[in-house]
Amino acid sequence: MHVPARWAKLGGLLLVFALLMPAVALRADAQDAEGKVLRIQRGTYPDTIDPQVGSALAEISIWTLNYEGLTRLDGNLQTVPAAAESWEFNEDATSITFRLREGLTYSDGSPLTADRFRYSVLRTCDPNVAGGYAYVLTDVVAGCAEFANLFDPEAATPVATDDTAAYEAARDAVGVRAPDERTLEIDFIAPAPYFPTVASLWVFFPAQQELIEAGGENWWADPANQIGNGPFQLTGLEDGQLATFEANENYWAGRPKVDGIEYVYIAESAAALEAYRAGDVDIIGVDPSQIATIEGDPELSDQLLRYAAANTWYLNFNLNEEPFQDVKVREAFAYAFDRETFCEVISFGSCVPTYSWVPSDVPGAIETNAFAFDPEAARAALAASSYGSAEALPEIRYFYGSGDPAAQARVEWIAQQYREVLGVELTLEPTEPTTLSGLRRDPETYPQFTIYNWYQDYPDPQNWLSVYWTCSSSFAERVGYCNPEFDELTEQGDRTIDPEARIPFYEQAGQLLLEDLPGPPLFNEANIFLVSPDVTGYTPTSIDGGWPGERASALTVDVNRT
Amino acid sequence: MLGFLVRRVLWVVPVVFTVALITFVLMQRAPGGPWDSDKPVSRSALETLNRRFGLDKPLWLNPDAVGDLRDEGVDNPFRLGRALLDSQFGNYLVGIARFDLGPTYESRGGETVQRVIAGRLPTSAKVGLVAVAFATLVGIPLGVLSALRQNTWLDYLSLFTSTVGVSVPTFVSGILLLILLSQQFGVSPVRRPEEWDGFGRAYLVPGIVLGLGTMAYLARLTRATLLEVQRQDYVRTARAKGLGEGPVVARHMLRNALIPVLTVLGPAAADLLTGSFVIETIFGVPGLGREFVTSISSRDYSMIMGTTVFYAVLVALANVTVDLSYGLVDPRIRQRR
Repeated sequence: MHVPARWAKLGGLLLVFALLMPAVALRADAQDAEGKVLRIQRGTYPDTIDPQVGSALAEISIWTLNYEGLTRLDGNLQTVPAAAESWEFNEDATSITFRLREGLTYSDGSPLTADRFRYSVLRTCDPNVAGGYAYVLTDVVAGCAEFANLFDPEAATPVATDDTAAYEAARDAVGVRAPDERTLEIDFIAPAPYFPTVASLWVFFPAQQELIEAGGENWWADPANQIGNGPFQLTGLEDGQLATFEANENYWAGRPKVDGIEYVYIAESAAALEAYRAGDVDIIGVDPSQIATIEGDPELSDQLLRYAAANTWYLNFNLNEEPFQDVKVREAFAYAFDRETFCEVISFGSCVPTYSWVPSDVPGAIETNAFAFDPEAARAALAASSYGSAEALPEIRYFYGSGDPAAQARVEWIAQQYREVLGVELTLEPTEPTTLSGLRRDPETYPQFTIYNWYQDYPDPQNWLSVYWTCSSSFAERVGYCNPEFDELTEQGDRTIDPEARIPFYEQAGQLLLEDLPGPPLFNEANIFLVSPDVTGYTPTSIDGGWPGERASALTVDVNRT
Repeated sequence: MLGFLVRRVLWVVPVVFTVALITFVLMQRAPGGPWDSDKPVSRSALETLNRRFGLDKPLWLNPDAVGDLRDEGVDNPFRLGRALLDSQFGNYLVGIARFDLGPTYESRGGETVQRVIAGRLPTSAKVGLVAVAFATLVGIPLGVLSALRQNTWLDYLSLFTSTVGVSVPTFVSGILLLILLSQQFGVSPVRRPEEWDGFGRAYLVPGIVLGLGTMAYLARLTRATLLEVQRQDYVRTARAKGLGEGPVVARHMLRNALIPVLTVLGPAAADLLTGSFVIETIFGVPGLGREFVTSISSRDYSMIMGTTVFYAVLVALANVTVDLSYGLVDPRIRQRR
């Protein structure tokens, strides 16, 4: 059959056109924003940018620029004055008085008084707000737990949710007072010498009552409602795409060096790397799978920044289930885990081995290499256990979050390690991540064996030890760990006011944790970034979730594009 | 004709009901919930949140509410019926009928599902429109040409293209294209938010990548059906009566070959227009596609129901449209109705 030649030509053209069209049609405008703007890539766009409701890293990145608590953390994770210029405990540290700076204002110049902070505390405890981070205050602040649990349906005498009198009474009973514009007093349930560090957290960030009330349930989505007191002021929010900040001219410590910061949300790590190469962003987060590529690139490898983050991953045994009620089995599992190989080879250097539960840059960390990889010791521990051999062990089900191919490879390596070192065959249980966190909430359904982490709320050993492993902690409770001796030690640490004197108690508690071994620490996940050489004046800390210097360098970070 | 249309549109109702029912059951069966967090959450907070989203109500029917109303002396059957349906599923159904898909869990009640859909759908639809246009305008002619020039270089080239198009997933082709454009042509992978306003060139690349698979499929389908039609008697008759090649292909062959293509194109268009998680993630498109996926992992119940039901309605309507368009292409189908 004959087809006219022009048709064939048209077809060829069509194909060529189809394949090349994207290349020809698009070229980016390299547009320079006004002034000196630091552009930072972020992966996940936050859900709830309400400082008394959310608590995810994506949200914290925004709040810490826009707001500031009574205190803040410096580059060495020391708690230093911020909105408060000083504070004082009463003699047994059951109450604290913060003294605010004189002439404090919000970014719009309106006065920032102690009452604003009182509102933030009350809002955190408010049962109608039902914030996800209330627990950092309910455990400490007097009356906060009673207020937060006012409508508990399982209480002895349940309170109706529309009982406004009871609500107001509970609200007034929370131990927080603002006797004058510059004084904030807070009462505790028990001594809380670590409280100034808690006062740096976002639950204290003084979002304004009138803006919240006028803005409705998602008041926070409009930057005009987020008038803050931080070094920067949030000026724009584009869902899933962009958050923009401008330097706060009214910040008490002076003006930041850059005129603005932009968070550019790019979820795909390959796209982020291209954006970085193209110079569209100054800082990006790096996916572990990209490390090899970056290290192989002479230019990029110099710009790679990698350091341990403030989280500890550990072997998460369920002590309520066989065989992990037996400490010797737990020891065997701890010895059989080769942390160095896991971090350096299997995880492409995206983690840093640790042997201390408390990370090394937090006070209370201990110097140890207990349970370092030792196949002999692992086999000996298993032989010394009540089971005696791998064959006698019951089935061990290893639960992990499914859906991430990179994680799957790591899990298989771990299973292979246990097979080779101990002769134990783990049953792999890939579980959808939300399902897994659902299972984790209930001691009844808590997984038999997982690898899990704790990401600190604030860099104090109290947060690592007392909050996590004491008998009354919901974390320890779920896995069935309770040692009164440990509780005794941490309580002594929690009650001691002198910052130096408290630490030894926590160190002893940390040692005890290594003897009981409810959760042998494995590694700290690393923060991995590419930072352009144009960026200067930042100090990375282990708590920077979004970019190196997020918490401590907002004022000093600078960018000079060449 | 009108009767047919009404019948078909009415069928959408039971379809949507069934989809809603199945989705609801699956959602309830999935372990974990919207408030699951690694940090401890108080019972009181859970209670507050559950109440805000009606999760404190029974799943299917609420006889207690009927009892309460009865005790108050209400015997209006309409009010009693509504009270009986004051359940989680019942309220979804009533909401759907009112085009109110409820507050999203992600926003903790500040945003409604319909507003999220209304806000994000246009962006997805524009990407989808590019994809549909690309798929049909390139795929169908490509199929026609390879059929007409069967076993020539053109046929092989188009076969190769369409095989690649079908078998390479978008997360590969998308990233490859992104890297290629960025490194070879200096096209930044970063789009400013304002570039998604209007219908600018930002839509071009994501649209083409999204349409690649459908384009390839349409090309192969067109080629196959055209080859089949080519041997039909009526084509030979058309040629015998002296018609030129152009009219034979356009009027006799292509028209008949289009039926299977249309069948595919309807649901495919509904799929493309509602966005794709992969494309939106790679190219940073602020569209609806990612809501389909993220709502499930975050157990955003109202969003899961909303997006699923919305998609079901779109697919059902697309199928009705396809059924109607058969008549335009093929008079025999028109007459049978």
